[in-house]
Amino acid sequence: QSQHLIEPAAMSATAAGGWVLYRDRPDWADVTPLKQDESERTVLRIAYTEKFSDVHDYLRACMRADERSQRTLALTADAIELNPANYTTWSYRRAILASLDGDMEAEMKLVRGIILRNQKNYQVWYHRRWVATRLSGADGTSELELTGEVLTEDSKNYHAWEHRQWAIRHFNLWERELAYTELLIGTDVRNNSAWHQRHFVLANRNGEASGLTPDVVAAETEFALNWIGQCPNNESAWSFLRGLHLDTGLADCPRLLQFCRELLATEAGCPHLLAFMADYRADQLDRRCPLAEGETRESVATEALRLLHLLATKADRIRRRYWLFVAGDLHARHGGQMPELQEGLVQPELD
Amino acid sequence: LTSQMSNISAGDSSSSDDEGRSRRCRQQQQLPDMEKFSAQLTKYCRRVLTCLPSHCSGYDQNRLVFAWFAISTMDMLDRTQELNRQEIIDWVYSLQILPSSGRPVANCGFRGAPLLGSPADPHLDAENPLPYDASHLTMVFAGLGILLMLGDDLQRVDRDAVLSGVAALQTPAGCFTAGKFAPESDLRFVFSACVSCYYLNDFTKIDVDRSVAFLLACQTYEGGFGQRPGSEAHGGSTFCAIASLKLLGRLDSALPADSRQRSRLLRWLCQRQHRGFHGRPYKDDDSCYTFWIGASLAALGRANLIDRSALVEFVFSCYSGMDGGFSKYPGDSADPLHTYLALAGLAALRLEDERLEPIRPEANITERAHLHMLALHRAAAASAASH
Repeated sequence: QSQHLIEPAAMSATAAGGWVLYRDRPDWADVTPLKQDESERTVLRIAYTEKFSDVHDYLRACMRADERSQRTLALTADAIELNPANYTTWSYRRAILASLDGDMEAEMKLVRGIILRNQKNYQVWYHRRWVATRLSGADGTSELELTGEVLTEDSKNYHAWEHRQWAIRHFNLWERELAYTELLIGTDVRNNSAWHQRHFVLANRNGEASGLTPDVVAAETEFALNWIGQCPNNESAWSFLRGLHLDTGLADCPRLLQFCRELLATEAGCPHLLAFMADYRADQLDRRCPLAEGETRESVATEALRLLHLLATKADRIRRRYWLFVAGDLHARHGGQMPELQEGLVQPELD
Repeated sequence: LTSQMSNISAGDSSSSDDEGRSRRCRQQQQLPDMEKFSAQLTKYCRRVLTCLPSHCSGYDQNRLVFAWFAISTMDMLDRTQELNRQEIIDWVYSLQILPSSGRPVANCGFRGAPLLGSPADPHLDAENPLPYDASHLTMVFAGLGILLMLGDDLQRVDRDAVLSGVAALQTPAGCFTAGKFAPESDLRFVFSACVSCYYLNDFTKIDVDRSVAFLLACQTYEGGFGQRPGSEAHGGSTFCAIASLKLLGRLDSALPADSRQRSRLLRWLCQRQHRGFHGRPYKDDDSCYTFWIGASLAALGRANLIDRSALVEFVFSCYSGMDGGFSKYPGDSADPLHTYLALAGLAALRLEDERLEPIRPEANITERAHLHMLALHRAAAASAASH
């Protein structure tokens, strides 16, 4: 009953290898093709090829009759090959597979091939999930393999990452994912998707309880600082670092300020470093944290304003209006001495 | 601190690809004067609205959206009067899916194209509708949007059926699936649902609280929003989240102005500028993010925080006078999506008020069409009051 659908187009072709239009196939003579109704003066026509129109004329007829058979299964494969973005064709195919109690192993192979040829198509990834949940004995490792393969070619493919997260949740595959993110970070330290995935694993692997326990935060802080030390000009690593301390606040971790001060000796132009230090100082002020000896709220605010001013005027000029806005907001809330603005720079209005 | 500034690095660099594109960008032809620019764009849009070549067959189920891109572009140029408006309006109505004895109201709304074989006259298949024929949320948004832009009074829209069809697609978690036969669900369809309700001025059939909860669950540690909870922050989904919250009237309660969530979001958005905008850190600048990021900032009232000249320079480097439209990257060929989004981004940011009709960012429609929508709402309210 089941078909091996490795090369769907080949399956529908003649033995000689040429394509035969459906309207010329004797085993389809009982079907009256259904054309699109473009009798109205239609807008945005498409100059379909003859092959495209022919396949879809027969698809329309079969979908109207809702015929669920081996031949319509093959027909949907042909239609999908011509237009894998047609979501209704995929729905129809699923209905047929359900009615025929289709071979999910074969379907996995088919979908894998289509994914590798259409890596940014939404429908094909949804279909993969549908099949994977119906494949008996599946443990999800094939999903890690497939997404791993796609991510090797395009390490930021959004669909692949979403699918990978789905598989990890569905099949409980948390264990080895941290190592995978580390591998990718080692390959490209600015792979934001890999850093995000790492946060995803840490935050979610404990189910309802947050995975960002104090021990984890401490260990992952060192992880992030190590990569920042190697490549400071890396928004992804700094964001990840901030993300670890979102619930507690940066100022609860004096190690962070210490690290930044040390890095400043050689990286005084790094915008992420300057911004992070300004954020640290702002956190101290916002949460009214106890300050170090010799520091006052006024001196801390002044330092934050100097950092923001440096960002606006030298280190991150494309965002000068934003940094001046942040400075104005901080000054309004916490005081401090505003550096004088250069001529030509205008303080953006606060609401 | 200042004595250490001699160490300044050259600023963030993206991929080496970007440097090559910058070179090509400087070699691009200069932007033509307004009249020629408008003429070239109009010619491109009219060509799109007439016929697309066979390599665009992958758009078959989305033709309504591509019509929307072209018509919206012409609306920004204030040239829709050059189109056969009634023909287009009638075509849009031929794509409406109406309730009948054979069709539950949950399937109603708009389809993207007649590709299943549905008759242009909806009454012809009322008794025996096609089994796989159902509404798609993005097509509801596009269909209503085109009608508004072309000045239609929406009298032929079955409001109750459309809104019921939208509501039927809401998930228990507060997200929306695209359609009965398009089961994917993410923030794109939350936006499509919200903007459709907004155009029809009726949010009563959907569960607003649940959608707000879902939206907030999509904000990541970076400050932007992913397509689903757990997904990476991305320019497109971030726009969908902000616009949805604003349309639902919940932006300031869900993301209070002085909250950390709001300030993280603003930081993330402003970080998305390299010269133009990109959608995620260390991805190349792409002209479509002119809208996703630009309209997000405009909706938050922070359009003034970006570097305008760098953005405009990048956007126009993606313009091809030969094609008459905008491409994703400088030097690539134009497509209707990037043509609309590049211009709409500038229009939402109010950077090209001399060339373009401004866009209401969260409603993704020109101010002119938005005013027409408001007039229809007032007329409907007055009519209801007098009954």
